[in-house]
Amino acid sequence: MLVGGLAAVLVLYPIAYLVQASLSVGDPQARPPEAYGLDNYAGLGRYAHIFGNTLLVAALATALAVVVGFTMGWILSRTNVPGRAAFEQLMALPYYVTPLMGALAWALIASPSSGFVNQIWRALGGDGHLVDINTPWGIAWVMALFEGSVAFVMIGAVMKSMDPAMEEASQVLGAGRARTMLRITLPLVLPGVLGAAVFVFAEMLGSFSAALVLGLPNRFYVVTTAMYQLVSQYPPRFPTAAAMGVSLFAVMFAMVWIYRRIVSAGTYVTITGKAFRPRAMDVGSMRWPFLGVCVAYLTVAVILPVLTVTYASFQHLTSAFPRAANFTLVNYQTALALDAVRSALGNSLLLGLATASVGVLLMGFLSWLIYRSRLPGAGVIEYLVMFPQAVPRLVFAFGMLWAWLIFPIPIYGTLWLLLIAYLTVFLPLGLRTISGVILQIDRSLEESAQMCGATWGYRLRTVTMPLLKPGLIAAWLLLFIASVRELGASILLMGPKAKVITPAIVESWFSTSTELTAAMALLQTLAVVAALVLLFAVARRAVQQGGE
Amino acid sequence: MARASIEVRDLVVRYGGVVAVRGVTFTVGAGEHLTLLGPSGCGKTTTLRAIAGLEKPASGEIRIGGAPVFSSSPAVNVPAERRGLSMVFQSYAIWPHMSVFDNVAYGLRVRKRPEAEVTARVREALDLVQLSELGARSASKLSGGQQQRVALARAFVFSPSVLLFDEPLSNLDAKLRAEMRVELKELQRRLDITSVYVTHDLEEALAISDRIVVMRDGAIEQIGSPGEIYDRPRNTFVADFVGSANLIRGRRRADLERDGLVVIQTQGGALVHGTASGGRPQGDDTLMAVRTVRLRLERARPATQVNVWPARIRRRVFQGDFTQYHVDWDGRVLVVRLATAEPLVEGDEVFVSADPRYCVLLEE
Repeated sequence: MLVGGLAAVLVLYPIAYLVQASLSVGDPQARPPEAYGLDNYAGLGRYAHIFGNTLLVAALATALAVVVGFTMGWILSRTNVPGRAAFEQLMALPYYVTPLMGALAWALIASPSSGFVNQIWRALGGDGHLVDINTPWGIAWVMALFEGSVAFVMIGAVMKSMDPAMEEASQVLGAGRARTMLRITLPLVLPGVLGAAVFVFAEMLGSFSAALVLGLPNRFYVVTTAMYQLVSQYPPRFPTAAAMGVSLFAVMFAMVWIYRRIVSAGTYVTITGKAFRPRAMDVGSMRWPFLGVCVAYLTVAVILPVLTVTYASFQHLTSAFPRAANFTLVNYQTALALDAVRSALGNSLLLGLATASVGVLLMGFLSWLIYRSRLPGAGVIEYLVMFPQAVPRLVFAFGMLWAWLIFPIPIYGTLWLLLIAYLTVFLPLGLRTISGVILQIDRSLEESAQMCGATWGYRLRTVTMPLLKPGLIAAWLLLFIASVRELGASILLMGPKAKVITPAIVESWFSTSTELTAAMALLQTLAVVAALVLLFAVARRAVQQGGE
Repeated sequence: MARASIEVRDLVVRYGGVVAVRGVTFTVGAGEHLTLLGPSGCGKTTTLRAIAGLEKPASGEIRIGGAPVFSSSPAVNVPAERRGLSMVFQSYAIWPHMSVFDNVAYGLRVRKRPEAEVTARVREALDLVQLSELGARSASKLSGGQQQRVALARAFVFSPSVLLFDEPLSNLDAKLRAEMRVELKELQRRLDITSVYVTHDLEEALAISDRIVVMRDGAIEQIGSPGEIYDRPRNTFVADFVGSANLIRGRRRADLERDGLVVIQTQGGALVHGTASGGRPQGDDTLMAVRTVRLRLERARPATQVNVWPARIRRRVFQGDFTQYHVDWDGRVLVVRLATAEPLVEGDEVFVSADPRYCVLLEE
């Protein structure tokens, strides 16, 4: 009950302050507000174009991501494309590339003045620029590449869970392949596709990093970047930003609600629990074009961005045309010499460790509470804990900024505040990972230990925890990676003396050289990988020693 | 091994607004093998779980070995791990992260027995379920039948006072189930332990029980020995659920009754002599049940005085162990199962007869 209450405080306390700030109509700097009113919401009319921008980018990106997800889902789960098992694994990679890395890379590739593509275009005698990434289309493109893998996971799961007998029945009754596709397959997967579209759209509405990196140079704002601007400018305009945040949050909340409705009501339950291998359609020589599609997606979403950033990080002055004299290690030397970078990287790794370790304990206990304890009110706790899912991290961080500023214990500007922020915004991530495992463990496994006479603690130690171990490790890793690379919440909450790495990368992008930024981004990725390798080695050693 | 009796009194279990068990009372004698039998949703598993302590009843009382483990007033609720029972689960609930040996040893280690004793007793238990070779094997690499045996060994190795079984054979295929039924009975007798067994399978219940409690909708329909339940059902539900029976509707003819027998007359005029298992309802609308295997078919008229009627074979269905005949009798169809290969063919005129002992007047 105590832990449930703690989770409720973590989630609701900032939200309450966010709403309070949005209703403040007196002096915008005054705490607590001098007067309450709806003026801030009424004043949002001036920012209508920003809401328009947000919808435009989100809609474009969603359309593209769903097309990517549907195409890849269909190819990889229903056709005999070569290497489909390997591709299915590889489809997780775009998610790990992150929108920030994608945005940095695509800015290098396609910015109007210095982008590689445009450099080549001009070298070939072209005029002006061929492509421009600093547009709504460019932002949507980068976000769609990233979110495409999310759409793939969701749509692919629906396609895989469909009993091929339904299609076979249609064919046996005399319908051709095209008719079967149109009348049977499509209607069956439609709710799943729709659900994925709504989910992706909600995520896009709250996304931040791509819009920041690619939109700021042209003063193209979406709601999250506009909020960031309002808060970080002088004098800051907290109430307006809060009103924007609450509005965005309301729209996203509606989206998540619609998504849940579609998922719970719309699926014509094709999942029977019966094991069947989805029939792989023999597409003949079309296999090769389909293979090309898979390779192309992974190229633009993963290979090209990573290669571009790596290439840039070893250059004095990035150019599409490599020259031996231009290669250098100086960016890495600078990055590692900068105290700001070193301490930020150290802080991030430390925070990642702390978030993952505390998070696994907290979220493991919450999962158990919600899905196992049969405690009255468990459903309410679940709803609360999953709440941050519907709130963009930046908006959440804004509420926390407001909330913890006046907290009696001075944690504002310290790593402690970031730790609390990470633990809050990653509640849904951790809970989903752990509860997935908890739900797989049959309740009778614990009950039979009880019938053997084992007390609560003994059961937990000998049965429950060992069975949960794979899930807990997975959750730990996810939380670690997510924390080290967090941007939306960190950028608002980090103090000048307690910097973390991702906001530092963004700062460097706007204030220092592209090449140095590329080096920092790669260093961050390498640090994450190195930390994980080290941890695995240590863990394995501990296990081996324990066994001897 | 210590044997304990179980007393269940006025047990009520609720799930939210739904009453799963509505005031059930029965006792299990020390060393007795009792079975709770009924269709799914009848409350049998809930009753078992309430005895185990895995489900908290709304009211009533449960005593094990005379001591209350649950009571609504005064409030007593001993947690499952301190009731000294053991249980075999429907899903077996074998822990996949342990070896077979560790699974079985669990209850002994919980009780902090010295490791030498643990080893000896686990060996003994594995011998008893014929798995002596598999101790070192990982429990996740077992077949269904082997998992079943591990679950059994794990349940009895620490000498519990009562063994509970929750449909332990329902996940096995038919052949293995028949084998395990016999083995289970052997084991029960050898361990000489009190047991409560839950199943929806009649044959299983008949095979392994001293007494059977038939349940429906959270209440008890009948309690009796396997023979009583089979041949002397109290009402239509038990007659229907416990294997195939012909139900014959008619008017009580108390005026014709002699020698403790009861008589009903069908609409077609046939007189059926039978016995009463419980109360003797009067009136125009009473029912008699007679099992399909208790009816006889003969070409020649048998010598008995009562319950002999002419009939005609309508359909003959060969089913291996027996042949099922559908006969036209008294304006309706009776189903008769004969183990003998009588050379009867469709259209034959025959005599159908029944011993009045097996024609049971139902209470409702």
